[in-house]
Formats: sequence, structure tokens, C-alpha cells
Amino acid sequence: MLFPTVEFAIFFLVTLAGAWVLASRLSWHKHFLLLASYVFYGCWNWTYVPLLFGISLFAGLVAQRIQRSQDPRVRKRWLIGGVVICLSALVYYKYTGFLLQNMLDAWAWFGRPPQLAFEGPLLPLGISFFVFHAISLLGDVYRGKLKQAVTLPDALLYVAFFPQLIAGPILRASDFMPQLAVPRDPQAVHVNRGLLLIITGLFKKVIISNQLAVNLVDPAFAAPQSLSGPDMLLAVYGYAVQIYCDFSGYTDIAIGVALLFGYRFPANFDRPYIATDPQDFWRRWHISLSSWLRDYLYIPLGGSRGGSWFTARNLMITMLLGGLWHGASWTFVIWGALHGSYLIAHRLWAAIPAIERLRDTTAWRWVARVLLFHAVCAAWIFFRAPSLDLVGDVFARFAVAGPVTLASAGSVVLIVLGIAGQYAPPRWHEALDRELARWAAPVRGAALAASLFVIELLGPSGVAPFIYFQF
Amino acid sequence: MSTMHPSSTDSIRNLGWLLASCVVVGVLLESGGLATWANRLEIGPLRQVAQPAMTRLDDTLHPLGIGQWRTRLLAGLERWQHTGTAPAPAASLPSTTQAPVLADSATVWQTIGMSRTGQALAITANPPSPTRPQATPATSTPVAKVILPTNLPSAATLEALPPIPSGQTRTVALVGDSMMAVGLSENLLRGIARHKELQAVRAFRSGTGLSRPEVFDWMQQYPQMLAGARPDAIIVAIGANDGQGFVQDGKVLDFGSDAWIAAYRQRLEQFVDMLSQNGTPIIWIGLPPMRLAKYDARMALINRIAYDTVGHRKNITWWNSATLIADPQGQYREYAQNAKGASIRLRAGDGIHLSDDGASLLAPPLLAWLDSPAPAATPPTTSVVASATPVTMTASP
Repeated sequence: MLFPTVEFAIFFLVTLAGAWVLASRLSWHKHFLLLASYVFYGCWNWTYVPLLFGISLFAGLVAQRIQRSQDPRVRKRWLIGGVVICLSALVYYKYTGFLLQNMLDAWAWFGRPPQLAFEGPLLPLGISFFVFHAISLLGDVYRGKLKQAVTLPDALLYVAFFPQLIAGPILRASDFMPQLAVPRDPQAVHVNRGLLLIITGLFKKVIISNQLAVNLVDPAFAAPQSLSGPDMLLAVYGYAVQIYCDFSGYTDIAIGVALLFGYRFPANFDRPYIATDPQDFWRRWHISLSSWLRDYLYIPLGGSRGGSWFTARNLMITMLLGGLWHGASWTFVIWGALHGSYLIAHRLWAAIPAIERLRDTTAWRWVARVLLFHAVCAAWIFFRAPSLDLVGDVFARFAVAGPVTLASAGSVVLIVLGIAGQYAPPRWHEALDRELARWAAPVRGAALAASLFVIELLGPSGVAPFIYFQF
Repeated sequence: MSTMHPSSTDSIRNLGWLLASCVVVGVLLESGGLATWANRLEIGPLRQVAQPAMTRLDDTLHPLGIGQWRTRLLAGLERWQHTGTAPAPAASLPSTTQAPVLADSATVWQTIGMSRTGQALAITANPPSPTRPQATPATSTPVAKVILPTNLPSAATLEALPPIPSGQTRTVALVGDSMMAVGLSENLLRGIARHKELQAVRAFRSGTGLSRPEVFDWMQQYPQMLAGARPDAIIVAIGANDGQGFVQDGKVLDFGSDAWIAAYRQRLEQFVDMLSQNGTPIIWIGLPPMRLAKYDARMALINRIAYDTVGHRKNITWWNSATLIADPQGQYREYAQNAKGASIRLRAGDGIHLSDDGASLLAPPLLAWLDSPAPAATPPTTSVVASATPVTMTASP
């Protein structure tokens, strides 16, 4: 049940009505949302609903154990045991085939490996996200960030709440579970903001992302050998915009939907292509994942509380694992390694005192912005290409002279829109919100319907899956 | 936009009025799209309820003229996109052509084609003016018992087409659903790009098939996908979405029933008649074994029907992809080891589609068939002689 479908619209309206009717009876409200979330997940494949239920139940039970114990050693044992089991489920479903494949390849270095017939398990949708939610619950309880007592229904709903279930944003238990403790206020719903986010997200996904995929990126990456350098470069820019609009569009819709239910989700994107350095980029791109990796991996590894090499090691480990989180493939590992090396290089560069004045100039910030954008684009090639061979083909095309043949006006406009839109001041959104607040509700409803109609007209045929669903 | 900043609040009553107004205006604007959506739903209870309701709604609102206005708007947008300022993708790839598919109906409202494992297929198609059959379960008209072949051919090599005369080109149409779109088309397009004498027409669309013309009508869309190109050879990989019941003449035909097989066979005949105009040589790629047993059995039946229907035509070679993709017993396998001992993953994570490495096993023989040998891929160490499990078909009740 993808967001931009009639099925989801019906599901959403029914669930929204039910949730608000039950809002004053908190327990019923939460049980209703939990049931709706399992229906939402089950629409893809009921087979994995028990897995989702099992992991969240397990995390809830372990969290309760950690909360009950006063002994730090016992608490730590429960934490480690819980995290290991949650990660084991993720590793089993996501990396079994990849690990076996690479073990056999490593074996081949020393001799002929055995002829094994093996299959990796089918990947449950959203497992990378709901396992990280489960771990966040354990981590926040262990660190004492979650003050309230964990109840099992709350733990189940925190992991399974449908707007974030498939592709995030990754909620922190300490941010979301306190919201479950009190009834939602039916007099203070962020309606305008929620609907603006939904419309913005649909526009990004249906029009920008889908159109670029169909008309530019997919044909170019299917057969880069037939393209000239300028064409290939345009396709890579196109992919940079496509993946931003696809994923940030999804999270805009998820955040907007949650707001209409009365829940606040954290921001997941903050205009990432205006970043001027890699650290800045990761404060703006997939914020819920990068902050998760920072808090639950980078800092426990020691963070920057050591020498340069120690920090560089931790950065690289964090980004390598962050890359691997996206998929069981060496292309994702290399993508992570590239970003790790960008972060390390930037730290070394930033430590040079002689260029401090240069770095503060506007001109340099623009140079840095352009350089960083291209470095990010280079890494996206590894992210997009199905194999390292194809990565080589794409890079090889940059050196081939030839005419620009892929540059349709529509594609160029969408790329410019996707990048320039990130320079729109946030106050514009606030002004629009205030303006909408003056309109009568039925007029806003009509405007919403008209907006949906226009988006439908301008989008390509059908609904493409969100890129991050595969992770 | 995701950054939180101060925002106004409303009461839930206001939200209710807002959404009610949105639904009313949305239905007025989109009644045609909703009717199309309902018509394309999978055969089942939801469609049984939604299809007549949405059709009646659309018929009721038809006199307002919004539907016609909407259709004209869509047609205008299509014209602007493909013949106006923006060049069509056909012009974008030097050695490939891809024609636009004209749309005149719902776009966003169409559900994505999803595999049963939760992995999404690529973009689904947008069909032209849908028919609106009022489905009733098929209960009468006995259909003759169907006997299908049990053994399918297993030759791995293909007899090459005649050499391309010097200075001329050969245009090959890549036709099919996601079994062509995912992995295979990319491998073939890469191979074709290495040969100046070959040109490709991208005539594939994920989420399509022959069983649901109301979702995507290949008979109408294929000529538009060719955009005037005249293929000298055709490679087809289709059928992965056809393991489902459909409505014909107002009756629901259950998948695998004799009536279903007869109707599907007829659609195949019409499809290959259209492809075969001018006697164009065709390779029809059989579906590979699938991971989930129930789905695999359905695809095996599709293979047997397709082979029985198209395999004996002079211009068509039914080619068993299992020969290169399956294990020695003809069963699904996810990984294989090539001659160098390296493990390669043959299938996508959904257990249905081909991975890039898997598709790279099929591409060289197909390119060789086009008389343009590709750089040799490393074949797996095992090959297979496949035969489908015999299935006795019974007449539908």
C-alpha cells in the first residue's frame, strides 16, 4: 500500500477517523493504531507480520527488564543480549546470502570452494527500519533517556506505527513514546503543516522523482555505453535529485500523516545539497539515520575522544556499516567508504589553521558547496549502479566527448527545481501556513483536492516504488 | 520542508470539514480515474464492491463534463511532453529508441505492481480507455479439456540470424514485462550499445501482461511503443504478472481453469500475430523457475501454454531460460559459481526477477542470435535440461 494510491487514501481516511473517535480513550486509540499498522504492513505480506510483532515484543520485554533492574551489570547484559538478538535477525534476513557468497569467494583464494546450493532468506519489507527502532528502544531505556515505564502496547506501536514503518524516519523511543502516554489534543492538530508536507512530498515523489527516473536516469544507467560525457553527467545530477526527492518526499508524507494523527516525527532532511562540507551534509541528509549511527555506533566506539587516527577509524567504521545497512552489496560498502573518506579529509582540511579565513568567505562557501555536491554525486554512482562493472562504465563515459542528447527541457527543469528548491527560505513555508490558516476549512479541502488532481496529471503513468523500500 | 517550524493548529472538527470537502471535490474531479482504478483491481472482493460503485459514480457525474475536460488536459500534456519542447526519450539514446506511451486516464491512482514477496516491481503502466466488464463468476459454457506439453525444449544456444549486410543496421525490439525490464533489458542494451549495426527499441513495461488488458493493453500500446520503428528481430520476456484470474465477457475466469487457458492462449495468439507481422523473427524467453513453489507452479503453467501456443510457429523460437538460470534439476537457484569459482547471484532479492549477473548469462546467446557476439560472459559450471512437471488440467465447473 504505497502512499500515492487510492488504497492508501481509503486506509488513511478510515484510520484517521477511527483514531480521533477513540482519542479520548487512550488505550483503545493505541490498540486501534496498532491494529491498523499491522493491516498496513500485512497488505504487503502477512507472512512477516509475526516477525514484526516478535521483534517489537522482544524489544519491549527486554526494555522492561532493563528498567526494572538497578544493577548496572545486569542492565548491560540485557542491553547487549537484546541488541545482539535484534541485529542477528537483521543479519540473518539481509546478509546471509552476501556473507556466504563472500566466504566462498574468499575460499576460492586458497582452493576450489565446495559447490554449495544456498539461498538467502527473502527480505522482509522495512526490516532495517524496525530493527533500528527496536535497538533505539533498548538504548534509550538503558541510558535512562526514557523516563516512563515501558508498556508492551506502547513498545509494539512505537516500532510498528505505520507512517514510519517501511522507510522511517527512524524515531527515537525517548521522543515518541512520551507522546503515547497522553491523549492527543483534538483542538490542536497541525492540519495545515501536515497537509503541506503531504502535498510537497507527493509533488517531489510523483512529479520530480518519477519523471526523472522514467525519462532520464533509468535509460541512462541501463546502458551508459551509448552516452556521451555531458549526457552521463546530466543523468548523475538527475539521480542526485531523484533520490533526494524520492526519499525526502516519502518522509514528508510520513511526517505529514503523523501530524494529522496528532504525533510529531523528527525532521529527516534539511536541504542537504546546500551543505558546504561532509559533516554538514550528514546533518541534513537522512538525519534520523545519521544521528542514530552517531549516537548508537560512533559515540560508543569512542567518537572523537582520541587522536586523529582514532577519530578517523571511528568515522570510517560508522560510514562503512552505514553503507552496508543500505544493502548487502559491495557498491553500498564503497559508497559508505567514500563518505567516510570525505568526512576524514574534511577534518584534516578543517584542522589547517592557515586557511581559516579563506573558509569563512562567501566565495569559498560556494566553491565548497559545488565541490561537495559533485563528491556526493560521485558516491551516488556506486549507490545507483547494480554492479562495479557498471560503475566503471559510468565513470568512463565522463571522458567521452559528444552532444547532449538527454537534456529534455522537462528533465532540466526538474533537476533545477530539485536543487533550487533547497534554497527556498523556510519562512516561505511559515508564510504559506499562516495564509492557509485564514482560509475556511472547506476551501482548504477543495484546494487540497485540486492540488492532488494537478499532481496526478503531471506525474508519469503508474506509481514507482520508493527507493528506500528496498533497504 | 521537513524542518520543524512554528505552525498553526486546527480543531479535529475543522480537519473533518476539510477532508470531507476534499473528498467531494476530489470525486468530482477524479470520478473517471476512480472508475479506472476500480476496474484495474485484482479480481476479488474489493473489486467486486468497488468496480460497480465507481462505475455508477462516474456515469452519474459524466454529464458534468469534467471527465472529458480531464482527458483533453491529459492528452495536451502528453503532446507537450513528447512532441513539444521536450524531446522524447527515443531521441535521447543514440542507439536505442523508446517511444512514449500515451495516457488518457488515471496515473497516480493506479496501484503499483507488487510481487508477492513485498518487492516492488518498477513502474506500472497506464492503459487507455478501460473496458468495464461487470464480472460474474463463470458457471456455464463447458470448455474442452486442455492438454499441454509436459516437456519443454532445453537448448541453450540459438541459431544465429543471417549476417547483417555491410552498412545496414538491425533493429531489435525488447518486449515484455518486468522480466525484460529488470536486469535483462539493461544487459541487452549494454551489449547492443557496443555494436553500431544494432539498434534497440525499448518496448517493455513493468507490471503488465496479457491477462489484464484493462490494466495494460499490449495490442494497443505496442504499436505506440514502437513509434514507427520496424523491428527486424524481437526478443520477448513476458508472463510474470499473468498468474491471476481475469474477467472475460463479464465472467470471472479462475487462473488455470480450461476456460482461462483457452482465453489466455487466444490472447497469446493475437499478441504474437501482431509481433509477427512481416514474419519478424522472435525469441520468446520462457519464464525462469521462481522461488516460491505456488508462484513457480503458476509460471510453469504459463510456460507450457506459451510454448504450446507460440513455439511451433516458424518465425518464433521458444527459448528455455531455465537452461542457464536454473540448477541441474531445473529448479530455482539463487547463487551459482562460475568457471573461475566465483559466486554470482542470479536472482533479485524477490526470488522472481533476474539480477544483473543472472541476466548476463542470458544476454550473450541472445546477442549472438542477433549475429553480434558479445564479450563472453563466464557461464555457470552447471547447465540444466529442464522439463516442466506434468499437470492434468480439468474442465472448469
